[in-house]
Amino acid sequence: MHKVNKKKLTLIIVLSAALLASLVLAINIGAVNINPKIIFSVIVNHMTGREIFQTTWDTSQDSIIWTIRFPRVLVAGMVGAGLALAGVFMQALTKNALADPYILGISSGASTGAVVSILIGTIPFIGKIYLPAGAFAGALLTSILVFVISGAGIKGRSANLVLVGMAISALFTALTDFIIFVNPDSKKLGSVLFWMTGSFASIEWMDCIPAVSALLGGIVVSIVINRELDAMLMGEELAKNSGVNTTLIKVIIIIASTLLTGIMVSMSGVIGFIGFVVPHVTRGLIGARHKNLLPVALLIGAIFMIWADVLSRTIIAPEELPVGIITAMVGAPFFIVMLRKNKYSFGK
Amino acid sequence: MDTLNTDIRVKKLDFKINDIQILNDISFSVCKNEVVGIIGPNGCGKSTLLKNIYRHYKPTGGVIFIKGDNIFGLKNKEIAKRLAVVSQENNLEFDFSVIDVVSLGRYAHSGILNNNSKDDEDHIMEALRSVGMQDFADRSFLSLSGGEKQRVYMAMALAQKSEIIILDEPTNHLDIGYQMLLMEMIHDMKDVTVLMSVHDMNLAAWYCDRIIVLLKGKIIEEGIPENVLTRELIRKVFHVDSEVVTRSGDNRMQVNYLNYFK
Repeated sequence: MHKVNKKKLTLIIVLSAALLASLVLAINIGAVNINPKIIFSVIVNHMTGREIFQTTWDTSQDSIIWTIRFPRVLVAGMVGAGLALAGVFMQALTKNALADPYILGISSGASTGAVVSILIGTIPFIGKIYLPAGAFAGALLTSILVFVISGAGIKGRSANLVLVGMAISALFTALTDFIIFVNPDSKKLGSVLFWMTGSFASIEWMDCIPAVSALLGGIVVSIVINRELDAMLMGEELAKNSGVNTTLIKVIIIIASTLLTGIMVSMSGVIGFIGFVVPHVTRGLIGARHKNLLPVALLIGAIFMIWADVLSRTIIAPEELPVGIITAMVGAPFFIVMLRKNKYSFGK
Repeated sequence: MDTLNTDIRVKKLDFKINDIQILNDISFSVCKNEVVGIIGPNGCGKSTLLKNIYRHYKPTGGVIFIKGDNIFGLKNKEIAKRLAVVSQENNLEFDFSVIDVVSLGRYAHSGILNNNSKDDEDHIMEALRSVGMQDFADRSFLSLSGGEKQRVYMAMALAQKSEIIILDEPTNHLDIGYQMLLMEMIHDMKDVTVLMSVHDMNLAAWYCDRIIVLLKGKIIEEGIPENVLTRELIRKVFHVDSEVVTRSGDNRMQVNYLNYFK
């Protein structure tokens, strides 16, 4: 036991340092390179509200750091951590290492909801649909559909879960395409398409509020139910026989993972594969016990997404690639390797 | 009203799956500190009966009492404190250590903070020692053999410290040495009531206080091993000719299987 604790502590320290370094480097990298010392000074001055460091930089540098890059990098990190956490939740629920918000179609549902809110904007009797609300409603609808159709929700069978997820994902992607196709407003089309493959390009400080709230909420839930998550991952029957209220835990997991996915996707667009790549890599490092897995998975998720975002804005600079392309390029081969290893079935 | 001495009481239990009657009018009791074995051919309903008792299935008729209370009126934690289960259907695919798995046995005793106390750790190590797995505590569960995994699940049930243990064919995957070690351990446990399904009739005869015989979802015989395990019964239930003898050295009864007939 002590060996694991020491390893966990070392990993957390190393990864926290790596996260901090990633934050600074990610703010530094871009069309305009800025000295890390200036980055640090600008952030400290803004956060304290005082001129602790003497201003030796111009206002455009200040604006690039504080208004554009810092919130963008922060939100990218939080979305990475949040999607990794949603993956951890869904895998414990379904006992299937392939379960993640993207593969189960929940991100596609969120995307449909968001596209509806961008292109249609208002629905009779309901009124104006705000993007986060639309994305969340879409996520909720798809997660209900996936869990009910596959029977993996409350009743306990996770048969065909991944297949049902893929079918639902295809359905909602088609629905999104249909809405785009029939919508005459071509001005909005560019932002919609960009958003469908994920991007942090339009992140502002305001976006930090839902991201922080969703992530903190998810972390609190995961701390409170970490032992129940272990039990669920070991097997529902084992969990129940050990005294876990499996029905209640499943409801909590479904609500928490849907909220996390809906809110994160509403800010970043659809970004796939984080939810299963990160927990899988983390289990290889520290084992499956959630007490150890969760902090490490959150840090790795954040670092992974920050660098995916850096790549997305540097590969074809000054243009930007959607970040979902980067994560899919890493995640899809990983998914295939896992299927080939035959360790995880296609849902059973 | 249930007597204080009855730990498990099954009353007129019926169970159907898709209109097929799997269990039919099952009634029996298991007294405190008794070791009761259920025997019967494949498909007779042994596991299904146990699954009804530990609430994996919901009976289509009848009632089950655990220490006097209807099981469907109890919360999962309350049941887990009274009843531990080693089932056949454990299929752990994720990389937990042996001690992580056994720790789950202490869940029912944990508070809101969910942390294992010193007391919990003592129970966990004691349980691992009693199944001979103390040196495997930090090993990955996935790296163990089938028999070793079975012993870890047994340790988990022991760590639960409940007064009743239900075991579904506990000697599966175990070599003959560990089969006998496990059965000796079950037999010698103090203040624990055991209900288990058993395949091997000799193990049932040697280590069970009482035997229940199931055939086609019905109890056809019940009593002490000497009265139940007769040549006629084995013929009727398993279609096997046998001889039942008393060994000279220790006076234990011994079933020798001769041949199968159609």
